[in-house]
Amino acid sequence: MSNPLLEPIHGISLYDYAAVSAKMASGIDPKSIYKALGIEPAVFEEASALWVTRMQEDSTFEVTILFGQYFSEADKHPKLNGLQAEVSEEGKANLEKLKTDRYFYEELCGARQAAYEYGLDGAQWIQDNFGISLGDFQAVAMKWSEVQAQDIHNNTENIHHFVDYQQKKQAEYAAKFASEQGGNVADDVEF
Amino acid sequence: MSENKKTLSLLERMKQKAVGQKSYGGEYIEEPAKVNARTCPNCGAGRAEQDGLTHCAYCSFEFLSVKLTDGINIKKEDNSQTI
Amino acid sequence: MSGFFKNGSEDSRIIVVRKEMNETKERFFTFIEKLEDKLREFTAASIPELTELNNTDPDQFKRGYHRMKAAVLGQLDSIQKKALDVKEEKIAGYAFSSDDHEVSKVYLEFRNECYDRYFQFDELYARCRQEVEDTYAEDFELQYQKILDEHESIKDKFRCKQCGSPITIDRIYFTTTYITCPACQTRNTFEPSTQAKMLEHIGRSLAEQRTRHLLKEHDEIPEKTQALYLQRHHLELSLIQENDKKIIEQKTAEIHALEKQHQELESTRPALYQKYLRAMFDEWNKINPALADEHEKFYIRLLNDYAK
Repeated sequence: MSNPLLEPIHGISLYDYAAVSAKMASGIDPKSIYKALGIEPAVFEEASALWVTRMQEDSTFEVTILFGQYFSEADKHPKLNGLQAEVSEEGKANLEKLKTDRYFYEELCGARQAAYEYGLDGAQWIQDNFGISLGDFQAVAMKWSEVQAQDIHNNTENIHHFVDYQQKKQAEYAAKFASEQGGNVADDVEF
Repeated sequence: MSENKKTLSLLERMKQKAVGQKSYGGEYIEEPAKVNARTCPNCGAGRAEQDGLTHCAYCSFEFLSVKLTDGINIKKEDNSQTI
Repeated sequence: MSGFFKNGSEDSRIIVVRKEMNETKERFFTFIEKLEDKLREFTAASIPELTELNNTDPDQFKRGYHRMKAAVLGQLDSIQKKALDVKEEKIAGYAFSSDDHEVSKVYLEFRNECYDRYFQFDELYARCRQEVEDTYAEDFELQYQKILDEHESIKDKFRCKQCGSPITIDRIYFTTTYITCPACQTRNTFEPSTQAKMLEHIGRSLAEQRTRHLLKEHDEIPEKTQALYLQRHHLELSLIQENDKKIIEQKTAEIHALEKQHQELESTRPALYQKYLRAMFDEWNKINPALADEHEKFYIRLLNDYAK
């Protein structure tokens, strides 16, 4: 390991830290996470605070970039992969679809954005309606952003296609949320 | 006037929705500070400073399965010497 | 000149086109004006509500307030979108015979006027958004004071879980930690309160708040140098018409003086940034000394980034 900023802190590697963060974001009880890693809160809280300072210190962003990558690979973590949040059958099916169906992913991104614009907690809305936790959603988002990053070089058409699709879906959900709140403020103004 | 009323009732509905809904991650609960002490689940011994934090000084039970480094308050010296 | 050779029928054609475009323009202006009224009215009505919610939301992260603010901004966005859609459809997409040069000219005039009007609307929209954003305020001094007060009230309150002797919480801990009982040497686990765990985070925000006047001093330099440049530019322009040698000399000296001032100001910029950064980090270290070494590395990184 050449970069000293990647040295484990109290034996907690960046991969451990990112996977713990992902597991916590998907609603898993911290106690069971600590138990799986054989640590106590005192150890994790110090490591967590210090990993943040490593990211602050790192002008190359290597730590932050790796963190994102590891976050999306939390399910492969040897000590934490057994910890799964309780997810409904429907939620599991939706999560699978989110991983494989780009259109579905873009739709939910648009829906979540529209939810925020109508005063809803978008993360909670996704959880309530599709049974997908924020942690799982973010992990999938990182995977799709890697695909997107590839497209920047050789398939910009694809990028536009999905941006348009997301915007279209966002508008559909916005219309739905608007009608639920009794319309938008300027509905009566016509050209 | 009726325009103004419409705006206010829309705002009122928006406010009720914003404040009344469940937040992701649940409601915020302010936890007070607390003190606890862990005893060895294997032999019942307490954790004394000179014995380090990672293992029970009496029966070598593993409290922490990591190697401590120099952190904020926890230091390398807190690794138990008994193993 | 181009109209001089036109025959009567062409002119009347232009008159008709112009009339139609004028009608659309009038309608567009009225439409935009109504939307502007909505923007103003809705913003004005929402600000007291948001300000109150910002002050009273019991949630640590003010999530109720943030949702409400997002919803208000969402409504402003919906107004803007309405204006934008109509602009695209009725103005940008206005049907006319584009191979007719004269008609195209009238169209461009019409379009420019409508775009200018839209631009004014858009500026109002941006101001309204800013006013809504400005309702967000955090009193970091108060949050920090609460942590200090809490520490004062709990520091001698705890007893060793093993032997019951008093243990002192000697400083503000922001992570769970082990505290040794002075009597029996047992390692007790001390878990700080939820608010104390925010110390590092609040510390940075508070330090930034306390030193923002220094950052402002630094950030204002481009504005000041721009003003000096304009002053200089005016003088230079006035020289073009000037023949009086004495005045030329005087103005040239003034130009040099302004240039020098400009350079001096520019050269103080890095020092001002460093002054701000040092003060900010000193404050942060005072609030959370436990991470002072790590803060220092962050400080060096930011300073290096600035120099790049």
